[in-house]
Amino acid sequence: MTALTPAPWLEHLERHVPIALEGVDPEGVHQVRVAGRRLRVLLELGERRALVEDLRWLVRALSRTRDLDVLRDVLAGAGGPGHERFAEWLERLAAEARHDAEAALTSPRLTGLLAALEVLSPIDEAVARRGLRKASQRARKQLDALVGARLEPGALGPAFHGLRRALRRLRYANDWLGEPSDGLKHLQDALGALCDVAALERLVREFAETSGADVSAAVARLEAAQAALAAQLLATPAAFAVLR
Amino acid sequence: MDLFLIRHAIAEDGADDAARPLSDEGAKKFSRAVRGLDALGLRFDRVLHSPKRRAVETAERLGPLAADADFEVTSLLAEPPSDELLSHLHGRSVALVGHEPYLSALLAWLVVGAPDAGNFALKKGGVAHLSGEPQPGGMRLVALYPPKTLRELG
Repeated sequence: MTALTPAPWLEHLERHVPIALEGVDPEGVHQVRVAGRRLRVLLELGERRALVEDLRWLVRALSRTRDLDVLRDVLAGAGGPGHERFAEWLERLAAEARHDAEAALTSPRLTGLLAALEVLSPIDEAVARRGLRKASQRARKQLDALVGARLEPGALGPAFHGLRRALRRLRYANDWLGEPSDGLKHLQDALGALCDVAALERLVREFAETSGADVSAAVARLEAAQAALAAQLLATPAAFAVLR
Repeated sequence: MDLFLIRHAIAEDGADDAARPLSDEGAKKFSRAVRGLDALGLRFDRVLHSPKRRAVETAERLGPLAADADFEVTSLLAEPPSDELLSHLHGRSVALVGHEPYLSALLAWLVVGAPDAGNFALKKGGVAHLSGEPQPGGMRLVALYPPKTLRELG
């Protein structure tokens, strides 16, 4: 039996947990999430139940911090923080998110997760290849959903998001099994840009709900940016050829 | 809350204690014990387990009884029972997969109020069913299932 072990990405995870905990370099949180997702895909490929939910929990526990890190980049790229109250609100959110992330990174759940992954029984490659076929089918299904969503107002965002997640799983599954995945990465990155703007729009709307500020102009700009990115993607069917 | 303390199934010997897998015999016997738990109509909505490989592999085999359950690993089940472990016990029907002597100590603590109040002799693959509030002295022992009994039920 040829077997897959979590070693490379477990080592990556263990190396980045202290960086994430230190909280200075945003790459720490980002790479913990990347490793967590990759390891989860490995367990799913192996049709395992235990530890899958723990990896999902870890990725989610750091998601708010990551979203805010990305947002800082987007705002910096836009030429400045803009609205002062928005910037203050973001700093408050970041502090809360940081607190939650630290709790997760020092928890007995993470200690247990790392210890359990260290001694994980190897994943049977034949079982994993079956899982890869399922991941591929799921990604194609998400692409079909996206094509169908073109006619449904409001359905495009979730459809792009669903496709991005399915692509990520498929790419990671390919990587575990040593299959090429360059085309998938290109498409995933393009969808990532779209989803980053969508995440920013969600935060702006959340700010409006808590502060009562008028954010209609900002929301309109963000919606237009998403529509332009979506149109650009949909107008290049070659981008999706990798899934056909 | 119904709480089920489950000692890991029979494992292979090995120098690295944390890495010892279930033996073929242990895996087979525990799968039959799970069928016994199934015959009793038991279901779990949470499964907490120790990170040691034999506990992870035992928890994995509870799948048929935990279709919609949250599985959670915690280092707290690989050490003596603590207040922090008790604070993690919530849910309606919760399985804890761990090791001796910690499970017996937890059982004594929850039922009698003192971790050193007696030896409940939980065999490998055996299950203790408790009911009540997960606090010292807050639970009663409903049943203590030896693994052989569970296998015969299955």
